[in-house]
Amino acid sequence: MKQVRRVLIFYEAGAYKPLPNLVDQGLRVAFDNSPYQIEFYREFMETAQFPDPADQKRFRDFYIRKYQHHRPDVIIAVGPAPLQFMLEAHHRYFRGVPVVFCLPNRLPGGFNLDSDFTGVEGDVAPAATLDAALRLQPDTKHVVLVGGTSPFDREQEAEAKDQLKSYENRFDISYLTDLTMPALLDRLKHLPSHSIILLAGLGRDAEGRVFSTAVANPMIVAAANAPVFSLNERHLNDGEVGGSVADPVDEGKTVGATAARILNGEKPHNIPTIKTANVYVFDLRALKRWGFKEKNLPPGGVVLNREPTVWEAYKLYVIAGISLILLQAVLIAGLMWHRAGRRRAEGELTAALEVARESEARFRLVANTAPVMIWMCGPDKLFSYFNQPWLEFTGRPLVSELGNGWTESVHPDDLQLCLNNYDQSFQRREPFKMQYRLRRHDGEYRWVLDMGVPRFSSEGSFAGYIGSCIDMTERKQAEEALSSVSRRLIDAQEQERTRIARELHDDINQRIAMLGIELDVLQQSLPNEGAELQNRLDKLRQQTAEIGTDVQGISHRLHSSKLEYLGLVAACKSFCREVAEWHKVDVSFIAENIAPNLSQEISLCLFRVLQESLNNAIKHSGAQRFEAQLRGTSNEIQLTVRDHGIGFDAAAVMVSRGLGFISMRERISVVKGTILIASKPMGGTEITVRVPVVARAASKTTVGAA
Amino acid sequence: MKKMGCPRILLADDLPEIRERVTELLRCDFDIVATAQDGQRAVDAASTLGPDLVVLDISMPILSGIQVASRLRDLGCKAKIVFVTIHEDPDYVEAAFSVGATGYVFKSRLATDLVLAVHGALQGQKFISVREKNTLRGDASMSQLKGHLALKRA
Repeated sequence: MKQVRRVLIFYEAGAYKPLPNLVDQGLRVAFDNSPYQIEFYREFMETAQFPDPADQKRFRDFYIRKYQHHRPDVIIAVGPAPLQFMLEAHHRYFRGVPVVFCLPNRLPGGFNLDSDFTGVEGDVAPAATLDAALRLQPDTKHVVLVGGTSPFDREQEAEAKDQLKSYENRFDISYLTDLTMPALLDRLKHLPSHSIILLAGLGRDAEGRVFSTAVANPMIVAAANAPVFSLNERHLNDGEVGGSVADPVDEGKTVGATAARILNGEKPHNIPTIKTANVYVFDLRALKRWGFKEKNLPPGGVVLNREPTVWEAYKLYVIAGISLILLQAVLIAGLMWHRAGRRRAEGELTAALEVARESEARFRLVANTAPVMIWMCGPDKLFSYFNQPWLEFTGRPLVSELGNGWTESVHPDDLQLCLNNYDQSFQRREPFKMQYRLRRHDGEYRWVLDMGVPRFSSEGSFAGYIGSCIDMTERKQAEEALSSVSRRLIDAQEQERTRIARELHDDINQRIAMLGIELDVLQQSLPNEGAELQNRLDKLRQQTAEIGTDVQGISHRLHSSKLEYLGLVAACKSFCREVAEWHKVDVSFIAENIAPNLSQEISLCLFRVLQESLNNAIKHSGAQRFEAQLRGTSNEIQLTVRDHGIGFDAAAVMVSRGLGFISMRERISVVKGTILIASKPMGGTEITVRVPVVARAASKTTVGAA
Repeated sequence: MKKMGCPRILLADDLPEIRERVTELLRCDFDIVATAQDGQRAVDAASTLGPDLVVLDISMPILSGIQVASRLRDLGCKAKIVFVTIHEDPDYVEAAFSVGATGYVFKSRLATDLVLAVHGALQGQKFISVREKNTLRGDASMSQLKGHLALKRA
């Protein structure tokens, strides 16, 4: 009986990716002749699929709990993230357990590895990658090396400059390593023809923005008008053509051998870090995209994402074909058998019918005891079955419901929409889901949710639909109640603000104004000799005026009186100006074609939406410039608020945590408008609100002759 | 107490104290033909009485002063308009002149400015009250309106 040894492997990529499998292949070879019985534990950190640090933290905590008391004898860390994890957690949770790392690149400087660590590292090969690229695209004239500003990026750039020196007289080589991401993407869009791109590390751009390859690579490939060859990327998920990278199988073997030596008693610090050989990897899809021929690939290259062979692709069809022929033969034999012994066949038929009847009975039992209403219709669109719950709900006998009879119970207002939906889905043989009101046995119309799916016979021909309905009146009512509560809350809040603002403005402020006037009059009526008194009165008057201005300011912030007295455009313009001064940013405001006689409801809605979205944009986008636009057409008003900030995050923050966003959406729905938030990383956020307006005839007052 | 030959003035403000105070200030030189306590009544009175000048508050029930002025203009009324209001914000001043005002008096400067503004308006001269120096808190846009200021305070 061999002793058991545990080997725990952390992979950075997912289990279904080619890379871990290649490393794994190599690894297992090394343990083939081990004197121990090896138990492998494999964990996949999947940093590309779960980039959120919070997710990664949860994974790590889980790993620690899982293995802390089920200690491995050696840990293998494949990729930078697992190594980082070990650097942080090893001392505390896995002290004394040797760690063998496996990196595609050179181990960056500055890592403080203790005596439990050793491993295998690869290295960048810009020259070898360029050689491969030239084989694929022999007419290349321009070589563009793309990189970044982090220390790791700089290290690779220096290495590339060194290796590419000898190519300088043959090609125009440029280095795009000190640009911001947007500027870089723009440059890559307009490269001259006969260019290729060598993508080195780009962990940070010139603005200091940090990128992972999962984010940066797709953006670069999408923007570039030339093929992208990568110095680091071994997964080739994002459209890179390929390059010369550390050989994963070889790395696996070396790492496995190192781990095996450690299990056999060697100390990690006595085993130096080993450099592995490079191998070419290519993505077949990218090769095809650029029209590169596979025969021009350098020898020994690994091609990823290869499509299945003819046999693999058509295996099913071939098998199906053969089965059909066999089936036919069986049928013929069966027919002959049938002729030979009709009586026995009749007996079998009876048995088959019995089976069918039994299955039908089982279906009915299930259908009739299910807590939903079930219906079926044939390919002729006519309804052929309703279960017991349906009949109990409508209180009608089956015969009245069959065919199109059931539509008599549908609410007249919903019938047309319901039939249209049904017809359209039927044409396309698609599943459908709709809501309509159905009359219950007591005469009350109830909201039902009806979901239908097409049925196909065992031969694959369309056999109609089967569907189920549930009564969702309560849910619908709850939704409506909720919506009306939030509307009323908004209304109440708005009314309260208006009331307080009015009170301040129309009452308090007018009284302050009166007080000022009285003081003024008093001052003027005093004899000139009382200079001391004059002075004091003047001060009082000024203080009164100041209080007046302050109260007016408070009232204005609560409820813009400008909106009421000067209209939407003036109020928006003034708000943009105030907010720009307050936050020291640049806000441009344009209004076109806005009718002066908008309803209070629409003006208030648009004004509040502008306030909310501009405040949000200023708070979250990090931008300095903002644009607000009001544009009117004959039947709608469009409000656009745009920033040139970081995009995505701002939109996400707004939608997820803004109570303001909810009230904004509610306000818009009250005036039957729509809101659209468009945003992309680095491209800013744009909020567009459209509100329909009924063209009002410019109201002329007819003046009575009283 | 009709005063023949004096310019005829209509006064619209919803506050009785203000109406009283304004009447007191203008009584000696002018004939106050009517007072109105809301915007609609102001429009009605102006179109029946045809005054030479209308003194208008901005914040009034039913129709605001701004709306009254633009209605009167639409109706072809030739009366000069002087606003008397607590709104000292330049946006209001701008809106008032865009609907045809000739004078704009802050209530805080009523006693000193109103008579001057009304006299000026009747001669076609524009007038805008200026804010007290120490209540003028860094309001840059005020200076844009200095151009309107044709008549200096005494």
